Amino acid sequence: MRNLEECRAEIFRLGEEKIKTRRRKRSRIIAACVPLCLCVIVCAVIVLNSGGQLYNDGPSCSVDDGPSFSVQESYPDKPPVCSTPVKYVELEIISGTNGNPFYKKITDADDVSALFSTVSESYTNGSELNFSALLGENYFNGGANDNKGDNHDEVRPDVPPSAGTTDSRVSFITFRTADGQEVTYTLSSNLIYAKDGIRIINNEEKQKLLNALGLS
Amino acid sequence: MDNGASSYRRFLDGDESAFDDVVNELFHKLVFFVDGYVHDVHAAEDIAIDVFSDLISNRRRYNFKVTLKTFLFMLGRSRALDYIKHRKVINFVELSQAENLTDESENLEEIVLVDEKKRIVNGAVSKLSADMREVIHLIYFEDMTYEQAAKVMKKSRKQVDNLLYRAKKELRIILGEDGEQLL
Repeated sequence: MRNLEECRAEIFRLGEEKIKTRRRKRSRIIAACVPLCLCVIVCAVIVLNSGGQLYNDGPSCSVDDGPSFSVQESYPDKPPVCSTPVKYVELEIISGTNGNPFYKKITDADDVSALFSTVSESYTNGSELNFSALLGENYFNGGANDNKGDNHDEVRPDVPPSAGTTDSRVSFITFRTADGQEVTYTLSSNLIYAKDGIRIINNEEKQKLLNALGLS
Repeated sequence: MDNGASSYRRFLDGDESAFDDVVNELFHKLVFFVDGYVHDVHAAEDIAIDVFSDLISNRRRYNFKVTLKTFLFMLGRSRALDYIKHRKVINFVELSQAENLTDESENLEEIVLVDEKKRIVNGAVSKLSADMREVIHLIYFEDMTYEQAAKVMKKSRKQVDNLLYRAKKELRIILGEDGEQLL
């Protein structure tokens, strides 16, 4: 049996050894964990970047890129919403001018893309229709200002001279995807109708659109 | 008397010599207690050294909620049980060497059990079951309370109470009429 002094020395020696062992273990864990954490972070960054590129690789949602749009399934006619890209492959134009019907179908995907780009650009560039400006203030306030509203020759700067009144031609421009989804724009006079609203285009824009669609 | 807790607190505050006081006060008691399990003084000594070294290496482990003696005995008991569980080979000792071992155990008993009455009781205790031996040792030799003994033995206070009652009953039979006065 050891004496107390020996035991005390042994206790301190063993205690120091345990402390050293623990430190060694801790540093070993840190040495293993730091590179592991770095690897995880780097992998995460790579995956996130590649995920971002996956979406960016596809056609972007800008109007300039043509038919790179999606159509919400519940509203097939709704103008493009940026989510999954949709490629239009068919264009159908039905137009009628004073009993002179016109029908045109384009199935060349590139042409359809270009035309979709033109139409959607015109729609986007068009100014939003102000109904009160178009129909007059009196229409909305129950004729209270009838006396003032007698002057029908008043010039309204936001409404083109022919808006909604003079040109009787109505053109239905329908773009279809391969799986049957479609977006329809209606061109009448200086107005473009789509599912989400009505836009006014100027004469120059209208002429450009008619030329592109072969309706001029 | 706080069974070394104040000395250990001084040690934690930076007074290295205070640990010597803890060792002086509790080391042999722990060895004697562990020897009750492992029946090998050298192994008991190693276990006690290991337990005390934990106080140095892991300074936050003891939280002063129980007495230091109770804490050390709890650790000692758990290490002793581990030792018994993992001891695969039973060492057979030559009879001539066994005599020396007995001497060492007796020597340790003399160190720990200064009181003659306690030594007589200790001789009789060896005939009891392990649990009874343990409870008698903790309550009568180490002057622990029932709660402290229960903590060390991982039993409830009531279990300790019952165990002690039965142990005393058996000891009375073993020690005879003289035992009545000793207990």
